[in-house]
Amino acid sequence: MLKYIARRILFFIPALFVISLLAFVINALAPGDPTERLLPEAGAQAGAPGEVSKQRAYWRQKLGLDLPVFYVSLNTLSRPAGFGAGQPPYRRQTAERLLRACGNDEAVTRYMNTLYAAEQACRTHAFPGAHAMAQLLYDLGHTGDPLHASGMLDELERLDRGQVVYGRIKTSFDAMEGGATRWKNYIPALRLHPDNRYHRWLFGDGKTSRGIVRGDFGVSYTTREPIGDIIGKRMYWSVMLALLAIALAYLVSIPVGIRAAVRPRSRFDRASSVTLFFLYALPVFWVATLLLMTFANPEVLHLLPASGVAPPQGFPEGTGFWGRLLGTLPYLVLPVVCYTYGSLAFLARTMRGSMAGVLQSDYIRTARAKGLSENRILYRHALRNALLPMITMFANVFPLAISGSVIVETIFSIPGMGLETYQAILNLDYPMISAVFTLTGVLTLTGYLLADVLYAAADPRITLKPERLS
Amino acid sequence: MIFLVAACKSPLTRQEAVNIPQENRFVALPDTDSIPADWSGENTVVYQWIAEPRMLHPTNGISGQRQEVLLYTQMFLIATDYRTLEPVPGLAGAMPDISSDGLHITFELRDEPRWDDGSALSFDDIRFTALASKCPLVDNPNAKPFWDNLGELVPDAQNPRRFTAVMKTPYIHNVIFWSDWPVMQRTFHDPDNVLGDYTLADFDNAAQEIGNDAPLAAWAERFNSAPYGRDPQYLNGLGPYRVAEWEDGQRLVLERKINHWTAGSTALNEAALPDRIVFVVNRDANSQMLEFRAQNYDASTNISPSTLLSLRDDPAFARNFHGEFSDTFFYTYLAMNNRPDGQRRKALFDDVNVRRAVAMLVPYDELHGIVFKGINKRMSGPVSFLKREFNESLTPVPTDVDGAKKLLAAAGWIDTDQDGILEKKISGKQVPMMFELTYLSVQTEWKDIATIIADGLAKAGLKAELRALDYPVFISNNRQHDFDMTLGAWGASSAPEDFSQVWHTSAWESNGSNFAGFGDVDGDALIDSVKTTVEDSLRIELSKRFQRIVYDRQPIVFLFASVRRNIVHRRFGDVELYYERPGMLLNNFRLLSAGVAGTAQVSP
Repeated sequence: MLKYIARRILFFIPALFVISLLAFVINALAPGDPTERLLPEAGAQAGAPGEVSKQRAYWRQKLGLDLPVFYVSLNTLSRPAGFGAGQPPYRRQTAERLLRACGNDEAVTRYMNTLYAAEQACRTHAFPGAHAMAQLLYDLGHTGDPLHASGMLDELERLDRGQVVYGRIKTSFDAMEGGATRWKNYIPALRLHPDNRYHRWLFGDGKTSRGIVRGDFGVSYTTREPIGDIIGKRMYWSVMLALLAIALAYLVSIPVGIRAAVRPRSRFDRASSVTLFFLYALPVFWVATLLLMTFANPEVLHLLPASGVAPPQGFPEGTGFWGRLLGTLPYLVLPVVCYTYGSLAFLARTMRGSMAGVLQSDYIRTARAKGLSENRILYRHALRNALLPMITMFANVFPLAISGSVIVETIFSIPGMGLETYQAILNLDYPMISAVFTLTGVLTLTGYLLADVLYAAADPRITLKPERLS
Repeated sequence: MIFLVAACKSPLTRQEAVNIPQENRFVALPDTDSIPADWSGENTVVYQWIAEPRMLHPTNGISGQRQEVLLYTQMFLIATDYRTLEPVPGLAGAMPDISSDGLHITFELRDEPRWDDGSALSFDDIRFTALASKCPLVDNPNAKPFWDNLGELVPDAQNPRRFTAVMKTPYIHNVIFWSDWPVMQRTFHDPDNVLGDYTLADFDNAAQEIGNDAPLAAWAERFNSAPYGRDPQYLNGLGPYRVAEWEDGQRLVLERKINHWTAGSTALNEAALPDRIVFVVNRDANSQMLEFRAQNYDASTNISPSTLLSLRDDPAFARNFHGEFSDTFFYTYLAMNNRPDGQRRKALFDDVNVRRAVAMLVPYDELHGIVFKGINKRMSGPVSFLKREFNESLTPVPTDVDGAKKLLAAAGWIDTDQDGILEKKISGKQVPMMFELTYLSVQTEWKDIATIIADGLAKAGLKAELRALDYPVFISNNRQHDFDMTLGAWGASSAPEDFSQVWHTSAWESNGSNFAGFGDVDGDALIDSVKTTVEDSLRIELSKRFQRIVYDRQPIVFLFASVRRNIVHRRFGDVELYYERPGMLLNNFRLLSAGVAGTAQVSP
């Protein structure tokens, strides 16, 4: 058994690598930039116009977002890593288009920088025609078509009486056209990046983070709290709800499944089947709202509280552990019902099918022939084997504990993991999202391992040793 | 003073709102004259919000909830008089003296402010606040560009309470920006005075070099750490309340400080009437409604309009609560892509006639009646009608389908193939007037608005395909100008309008909030003039001129001003509603008690 567990844990390593890589890649490719949530808008300040761009560059570097995503990248020879970095997005797109047209990254960068500097000079100096020139340079900075740009340069020559601005830009434009190396656009280049975002996420940056392989998921972008602390606090409620819901689901579905299996096609079998599938079909937000408006409504039945996990003002000072626990239970009733009812149909039907199969077995027939009572046969001999598929279901409790339920947590104001994860997605809190994704994977694997072990414990016929070929 | 009595079920009309005298820009709710026996006598305000702040760090953090709590736990050099919406002295004894060039702003600190350890507020604290806010290693990127304009702080050689802030450039927010960030205690946050070795100039563009300074890096690491933003022991401030308890995701409890230096003060930002203020998180509309019906909550500005309308129909609610709508500076809009790339997005709205036609096709009356329940007022331009700088000559564009058809025809959009959709030849290709109208998927109201607008546009042959997007995708697409037409809302405040954020070309180019792509060099120059003109009447004149330009070019369709949904339990008196966020000041709620003269009588 121990060998089996050790071997399974070894299998976890490649599986976790793939999960972590997936989590990371999905994050890296997701739309949006976390720095957009951290920074004010461009222009919304009195300082230098480029201040927000500088801040964005600084924060991208600080968060490691300026690094390549992975260990290797495949691109063309003309496009070095980090090309266009630090440029405003639209200029970067222009630079990309020009690079595709001429294939010379250095010349393109020089041309773009000259354009930008000239535009800023025209904006800030009040010489005749400055405004018109600034507008033209601005438009030029957004034109990635060299032919179109050439026409605009003629217009600039006409506007720029001193010819200083025109001269500089024309020189850099000609250098870009004359120094074109378009062939580089057709040569693939494989580049290695030992220091990349994925590497830092796995192994830390050597200063402030130790990486997930050492159990450090980093800190949240939005709260600066260690991710582990946040998950620890939020998981408490999700785990509690998941455990209570699973316990309730098993308590209800096992007896229902057994009774339905014992008398197949009986009135009870049909009625329970219809009822449970009806419940299964009901959307959770609708049921939750219905329960709320019925059992927590001062105008109908005010039996249970409507939201939270404690009174709005908290428990009175000096309330002990048991007092708090008992005080919390009423708050959990409706959420637990919502967590539970959807799984009843599946569990009860699984139990019914499993028990019906077992009841047809030879050993059950033998037991009956020996004159054992029906209850003894059912609960002593059949139940243990019939429970095996239910053990598999038990594995699901683990990922549920970390993923939670956004809908239930929102409606009942439960501070659980579902809501936290949803908020992290909205805030592009990448460390948090990656941690949840990875932990969900870990817990799913753990759940399956535990299910296997429980299988072996429940049924001595099942061996966890590898079969030897004879 | 405007008294909005309980019988008055809708806010003022648009014209009434415009005409409110500047010194009376608030609504006072009447105190009740009898107290039913089932009302709680506890001097605690339970306030519902839909999300808690991520942190309460004095410099780091951007959420509105954080700013709301800081109003009670912190103090600012300059405060806002919520009644007049004008800046007033906070920790400064008087409004500062400002030099004629607007660059030298001289403050004098009050004598009485004391920190919780009994020490007096000093220039040392002001200097520390500025240094910490400007330090490149501090995690407040949203604040940095504002602090960047502060060049130097010069103490007065004769008067230790007097100092001059030397600004780099004139800016209309050079004084009021002191009302956004609280003053921090140097000895609490930097007991070893690490920042004392630096000047503000050291922190100009020096992130890389500064990062190698080990003592500073260690200080910043500690200062940025989670406890200084979340642990009540580290949430130090000059305000009359302290954070007593923060149950993650559930409730935040503020407790009145004993023998605080503000005791007895009646100033809006210094009063501390309730013993405790409890903020409770509740996101669900039905659950919120039930909690209010059960009188578990006392106040909110965060419920939906439809929830408030439902509650107001309930006599039991009306007996226990004030439920009022009030105006805000926020508004909804319909943006068109004025400057598409021509590839991902076609040039459908680059002609002002088309944009004006779209504005004329929006069925405002239907929107007003169906979605906005007859409550919200029309916007005509980018500035709220509540502000002094509002250009009154701009009238909201009316719905006019025939007029819109003429404008579209003039712009070359004609239904040549008689399929009910307009077409135009662009760069040699016949392009139909078909486009995506994107909106946020989070609230059903956005879908309702989009559907009504799409129906209106269809009357003139514009076919809008509705597309709901999740927030990250929605905002990312808009910033990257990857949209045809989009619905959204802008927040604003009572502060003098700085148009840079939404209308400057730099905010389009840098993928900022100028989603529509409005502007040119001349427009930018006018925006720059508005934000650097300190002389008020001239600034307002320039601001009105800019509003006219935006109105004439109609880069977006201005829809309706948003309303705040206010609920307050009648067991509290002296309640005032403000146009500025957060809409009500909980520290000024006076518990009405039976038998106290001038308050209320007990009723069975």
